[in-house]
Amino acid sequence: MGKASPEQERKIIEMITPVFRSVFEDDKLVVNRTLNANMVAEWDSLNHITLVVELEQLTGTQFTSDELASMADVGGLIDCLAGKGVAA
Amino acid sequence: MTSDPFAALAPGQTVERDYAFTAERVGAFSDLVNDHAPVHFDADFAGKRGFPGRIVHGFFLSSIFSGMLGEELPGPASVINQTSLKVHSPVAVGQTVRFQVAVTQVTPAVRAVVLKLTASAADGKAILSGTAICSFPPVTEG
Repeated sequence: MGKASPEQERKIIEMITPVFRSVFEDDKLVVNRTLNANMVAEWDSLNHITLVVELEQLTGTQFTSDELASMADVGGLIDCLAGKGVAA
Repeated sequence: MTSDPFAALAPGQTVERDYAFTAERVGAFSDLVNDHAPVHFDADFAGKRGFPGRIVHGFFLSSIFSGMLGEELPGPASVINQTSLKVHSPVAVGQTVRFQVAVTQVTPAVRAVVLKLTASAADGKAILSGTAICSFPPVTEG
């Protein structure tokens, strides 16, 4: 999985931020490459499912369980989405 | 027949159920949740507030989806993660309502399914609409 270009990263963050803020009920949540589940109190197993479902809806893509397992942080998500052609 | 019910899910699958909101059932629900508000029991009170008569509790209406989700689609191996429902019009005590659940999205990576929830009157008038996200918890041995 390659790294998203700076322009792709900017566009994807802009795209996914409303989903993160909605799922975790935090209007001020800053979404960036380093954000991960340990940094968000509301990021539990149930909200994780909702997050993945809504990200698939938003981007029109599907993740595999291996892809999810390899994402250590939002950076991994951004690169995965870029690899699927999101914000290309 | 598949051993994993999640694997059998696909967008477009639909189930329907008709449910009669009889006075007896409304009374039983009221006792169960301790909601005896007059709009559900006093026709005059309800009529003065613009309703055609006693109306069914909104939560009673939405609870029918619980049985459909748990027993039919996506079925007994699933749990509800999230629901969102909008009430479009009231239901009079005694009215029968048609409920529908339809699969709109399957997300295998987290074993989740998104469902469209709708309820309508006999004349097709919308009563409820919304969505649910259900997931299939992994089975652990022991």
